[in-house]
Amino acid sequence: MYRYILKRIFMLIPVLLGISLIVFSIMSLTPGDPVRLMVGDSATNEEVQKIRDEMGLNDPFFVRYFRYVKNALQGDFGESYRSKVPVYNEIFARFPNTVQLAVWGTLFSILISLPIGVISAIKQYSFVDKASLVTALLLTSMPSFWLGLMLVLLFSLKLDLLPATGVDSWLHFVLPSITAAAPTVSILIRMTRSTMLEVIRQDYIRTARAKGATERIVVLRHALRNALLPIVTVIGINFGFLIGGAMIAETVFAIPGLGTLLISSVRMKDTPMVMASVLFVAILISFVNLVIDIVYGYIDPRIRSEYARH
Amino acid sequence: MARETAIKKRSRTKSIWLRYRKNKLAMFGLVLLAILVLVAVFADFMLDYYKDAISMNMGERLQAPGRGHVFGTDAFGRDLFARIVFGTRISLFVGILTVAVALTFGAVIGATAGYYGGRVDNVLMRIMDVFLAIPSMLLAISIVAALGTGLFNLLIAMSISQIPRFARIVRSSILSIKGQEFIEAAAAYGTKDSRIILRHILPNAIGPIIVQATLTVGTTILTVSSLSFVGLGIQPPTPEWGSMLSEGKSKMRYFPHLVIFPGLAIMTAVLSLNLIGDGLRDALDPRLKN
Amino acid sequence: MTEKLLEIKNLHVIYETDEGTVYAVNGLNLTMNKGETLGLVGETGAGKTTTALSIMKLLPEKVGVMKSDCLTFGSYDIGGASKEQMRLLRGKEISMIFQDPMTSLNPVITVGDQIAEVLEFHYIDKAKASISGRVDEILELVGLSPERKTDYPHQFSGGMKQRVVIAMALACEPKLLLADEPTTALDVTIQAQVLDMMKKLKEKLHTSMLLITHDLGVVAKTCDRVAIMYAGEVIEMGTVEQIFEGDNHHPYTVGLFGSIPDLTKIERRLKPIEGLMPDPTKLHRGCPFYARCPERLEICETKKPGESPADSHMIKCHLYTKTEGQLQEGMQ
Repeated sequence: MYRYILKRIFMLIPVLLGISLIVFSIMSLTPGDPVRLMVGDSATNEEVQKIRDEMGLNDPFFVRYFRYVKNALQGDFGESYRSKVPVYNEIFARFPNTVQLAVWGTLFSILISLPIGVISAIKQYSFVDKASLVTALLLTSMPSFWLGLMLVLLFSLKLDLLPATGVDSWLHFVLPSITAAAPTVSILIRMTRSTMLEVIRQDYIRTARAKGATERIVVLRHALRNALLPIVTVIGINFGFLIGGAMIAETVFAIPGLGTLLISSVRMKDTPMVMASVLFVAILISFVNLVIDIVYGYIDPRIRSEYARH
Repeated sequence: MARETAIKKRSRTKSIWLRYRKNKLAMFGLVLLAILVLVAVFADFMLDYYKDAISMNMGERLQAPGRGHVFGTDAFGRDLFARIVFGTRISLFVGILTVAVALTFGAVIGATAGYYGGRVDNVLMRIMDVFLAIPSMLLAISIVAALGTGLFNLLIAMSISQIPRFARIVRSSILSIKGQEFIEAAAAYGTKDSRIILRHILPNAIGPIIVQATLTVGTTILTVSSLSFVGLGIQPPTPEWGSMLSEGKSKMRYFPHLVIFPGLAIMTAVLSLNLIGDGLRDALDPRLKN
Repeated sequence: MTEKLLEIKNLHVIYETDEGTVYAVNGLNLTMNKGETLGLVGETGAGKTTTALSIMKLLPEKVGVMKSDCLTFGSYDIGGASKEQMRLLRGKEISMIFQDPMTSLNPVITVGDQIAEVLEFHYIDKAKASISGRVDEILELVGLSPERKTDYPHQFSGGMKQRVVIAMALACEPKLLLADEPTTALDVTIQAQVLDMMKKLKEKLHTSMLLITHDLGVVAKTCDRVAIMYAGEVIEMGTVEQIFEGDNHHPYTVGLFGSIPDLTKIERRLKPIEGLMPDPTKLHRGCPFYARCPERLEICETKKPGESPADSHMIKCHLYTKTEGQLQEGMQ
């Protein structure tokens, strides 16, 4: 099994490098000279160039890129243009909030979507089925931040049940998690439903019934176990969307996380901060996908047995 | 021979349309979209852009929906209905243009990869995979971060973020067609590669591509509104639905109409596109429905 | 003294699909005695699988509708049984095995657990250890090593998978085994092995078997009695000797045997039966074989033939059925 995990980790590295290269390339397209911004208009061009040479900003592209990667691996992501504080500090402080939001959001998404999807499939064309499909369709057609705003309108402002901003208690994460998870809920409901429908039509389900299994066992032990395989994969793919939703939810609910950091950095053209934020989020997503891959390797006996014998 | 294929194609399109027509939800989506398109195109005939949507009128600010202002007015006294109408034009324009550009570039990349296979395919798809590993919104934000805000940069950012998806779809469509025998036959005659792609492969592959294109217009509208909401997309005073929501957010406690109507507009537009996309998917291959 | 195990009278099964109603089984009569192997023979689409599924009441839920005058198994009235009553019968008193072993086993559960399952369903009080022991026993009985019970289905070959399926079906020692083309999907060499094994097990466990097949060679080797189906009806039934030898046969049976290549004879061409099976979406009046029968009579088009006494050699054909309470041969 270790071979499988190692293999997956190895495959991750070129992807991460690729992402960092793309992001670095994009950021280097930014117009404007950060040195000029630092020293102001009074300095002469020669002085600016001298400082640029000293800082290595005039070096060829790949030299700068590899320097960045080298530094990044040691935890040095440069200093914020705005605050002159090492970028890493700010990211480290905000990272936990975003992760919390993502975790709650994922849990919420799974706990809601899976049962609804399964029931929809078993009772196809019933009221639950049609209602869930309609709900999924509507959810996927609305911007998640708008859902967030509506939730705030209803639960915070009108009913005063849940807080609208900040991160002081777990209650503060309820509405933001729902907001972040909303786009993935509809995907997961539909995916669970269609996977279950496919699995229920399989021959081994008929065999189970022929053995005298109750419907409950047929659904839970035979159908769901098999349906879980593609569903787990989808949960992994969904995580990217979930993080996007989380970043937007942060702005609606004024949560100090990577999302709000990224957006304010972009507005203020704080390139090192933007670069690091994007990288961190991309790395987080890749890492989660890696975990999902490994989990999948464990729950699919075909993969597990292939690697177990070595 | 050409006439036969032309007739076959026509009747195939017709049967797809007939199947589509039977789907009530899909027809509803089509009607909805048609209304939105008409509104966008003919907006100028009913309203004046500068007078109704842009210029401020502080005397009438923050009015609730009622006479004179169907959806009420915003914090600057501008009629919300007019702004939403013009917002339709912007959203549809950005959405369709983005998909058109992304589809074109994506199709070229995907077709090349799919048709030539081998190393070309490998390299191209690896690059696409890395792009796909970054969520499209994040990618769009990075590009906007680099280039700056504004409509043109936004279009570039959105297009680039959607190219990989279309490249993949076109490639897989082509791979599934390529294996079929009539392609081998055409190649055996000595037909030029580009001609094979254009004349034989693309018409058959076009179905899933159109479905994806329709759905992507919807997701583009959502992403653009999200970006505008956080200030990275279309800038005020242009009446984009997302930025309207951003403006209304601070005042929504006492003036909920500021956030309800623009949101409903977004939902209506995207819903119509989703219904059409799903309807097309079912009409193209009814076997896929459970 | 042969005891009646299974009795089916006038079974009708229809499938209500989006494209229309399919008449799968039309007035089928069948009896089985204890301890015998009955071969159910017919072309694809004759309704053999549907018949077996009806006995198990496993027809697809909203689509399949069955009704009968009588459907009894031993002392159980299957026709009127509730869902729970049927569930208790399945796997314990009546088992069914299906055609394709590749897809009949759940890929994510070990083989041992799948066999143990059927025991757990029906022997709720048994301790884990005794169930485990029984699993080992039954694996050995089908010729597999008990060590393999922690393996997954994909680690077995086709023939071995089918052995597992058979083990699952026989674990509770059911009185009746419905085998739907159990060897059709296997290699020819494995077929013989599996059939042999089934025969031995059947004798050891005193199980009766309904063997569905389209392979007359298999029937000759393993069955005691044979029922031949056509278009949802049993058109001929008798002992293996009566069917394979003897002079009186339903014209369809004649055609069936005539279309088998015979290595001992020198023939220029095979003799296929002309035409196709009738459209299952249309109910036919009269004899279903009318359109293709080389010996048809006028009456065959409009009137369904009756069935001669079930105990003996039954031939459902106007050429043979009594009109005046006597067996007549060859009407003008």
